[in-house]
Amino acid sequence: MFMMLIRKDFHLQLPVLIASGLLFIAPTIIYLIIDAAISTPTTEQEPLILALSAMTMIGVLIASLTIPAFVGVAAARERRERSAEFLEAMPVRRLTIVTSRAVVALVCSLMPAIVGTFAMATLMWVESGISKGSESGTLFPNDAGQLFLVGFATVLAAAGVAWFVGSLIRSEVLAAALGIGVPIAVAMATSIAMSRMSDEVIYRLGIYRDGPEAYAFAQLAIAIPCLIAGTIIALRRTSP
Amino acid sequence: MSSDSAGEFAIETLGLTKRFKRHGAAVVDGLDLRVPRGSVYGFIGLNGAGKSTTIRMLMGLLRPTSGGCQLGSVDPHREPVLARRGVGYVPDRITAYAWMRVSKLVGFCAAMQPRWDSAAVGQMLQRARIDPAQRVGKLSKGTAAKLSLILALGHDPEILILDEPTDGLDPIARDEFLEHVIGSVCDRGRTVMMSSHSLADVQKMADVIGLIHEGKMLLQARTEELLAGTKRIRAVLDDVSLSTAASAARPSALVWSRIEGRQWTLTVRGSTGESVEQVRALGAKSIEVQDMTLDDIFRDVVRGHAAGHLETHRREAIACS
Repeated sequence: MFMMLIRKDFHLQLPVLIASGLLFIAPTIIYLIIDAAISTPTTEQEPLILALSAMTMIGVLIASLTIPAFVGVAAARERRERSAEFLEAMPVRRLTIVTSRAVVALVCSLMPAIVGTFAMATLMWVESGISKGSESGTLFPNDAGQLFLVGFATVLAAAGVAWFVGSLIRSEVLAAALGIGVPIAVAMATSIAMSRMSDEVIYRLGIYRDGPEAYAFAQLAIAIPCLIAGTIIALRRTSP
Repeated sequence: MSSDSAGEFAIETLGLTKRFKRHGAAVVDGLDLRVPRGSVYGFIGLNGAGKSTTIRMLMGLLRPTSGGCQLGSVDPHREPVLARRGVGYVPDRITAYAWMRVSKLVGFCAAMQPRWDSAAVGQMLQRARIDPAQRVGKLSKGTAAKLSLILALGHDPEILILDEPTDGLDPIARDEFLEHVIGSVCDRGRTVMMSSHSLADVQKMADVIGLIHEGKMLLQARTEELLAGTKRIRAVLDDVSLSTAASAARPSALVWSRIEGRQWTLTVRGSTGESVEQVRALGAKSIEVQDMTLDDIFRDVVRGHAAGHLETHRREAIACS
């Protein structure tokens, strides 16, 4: 039963998966077209791999914008199409239905992350080979780990908002749009708040004015309640 | 809800009430509904009367504000999975996945229903001439309704709930659909609850009629008793001046009454002879008693309720069931 639900939920995610794939490969294709048009093809493999890895990373960043869409589709699409009513008229526990949706949304959302990790590893490997003996330094900042934390928290906030909104309304488009918009607004609000805080307050909070901790914390403060509330609503909803 | 009634009634509600925050007023208001086991129950009412809301509460798709309901002996809100195992549900339009092919959808339902009878479903699909390779979204309205019914019957449920299933179907498709329903009832002796606007269909099929209006049960009675006991009396008043007295008159079994000039038309239920005498006593002549169709009764009961004729009669009608 659960596998059948998983297959059905994957099918519902197909349009977003295709869109995500297209967004992911778009920078690479554009780069290759421009490269072929304006310069002679390079014979050196390493710069090409470096460029392609960088394009892949950009692709991953753009494709990450579809994460709220995956979550929004999981939460709202079946209710908009009324197929949720069909499903919930069957002897299936709501927990099973919601778990299947969440698992599929998670797997789909992880795809850009997995591809991005490979791209980043390739980029680091190639870049480390090129920069050997060079004094130009690495492409990666020292606080890459902290930036990763902010990125993760932002993606989680986007998914959380989309999950929460999608469990309230029947529009996956609006859920996805708010999933993108709210974390951006939160980041901007955090930035404004940080710039207006006195040094004393910043010190008391134990954060750095230009550090990523406050941004990560603000996104997590949105993400966790939204994920919990969205799940509770999805499980306790009085109508499909 | 009394446990001893579980054997007699397949579906039972007690004081079932649903209020939506945005509406304020109750959409379903203290509904007491009893569907005898093995019967076909025609659930009728105007648009917005509360039929679909009641059915959705019975299916556990909506939570009641107060009151309760039972399908068989199971509360669909406490044990939704168990309740739905014994119920087949056909909504007003097919809500299944339009992108699935019929065969895939059947497979999907089979995975969800523990008691799925694939052989019987295959036979029903063949009899309904439904192509398993066709996409659900591409089916005609009539074929989609038949598919919806087949899917509802696939696990051989005790109870079949149909929410305006023939709405928008052409007469041929409607007849075919109803034949399927009748076939399923005859084959299995299952309980069917059917809401419909097609009162001719309900009159033809239903053993018991429930009329809901503004969320309240106005009338619940056996079809033959309702048709036999409800009569239209047409009378001609001697003088137009008698119309004032006639319009104020309330014959004991009055459902609805209308006076146009000297023409007095009344709908009465129960003691027709007594009502005829009362009409005659008011100076009416040429009194004619006519049979009524369910359609006529429905209109007059709703009009009578609006005019305030029905209140005392209602309890008696409900008691009849």
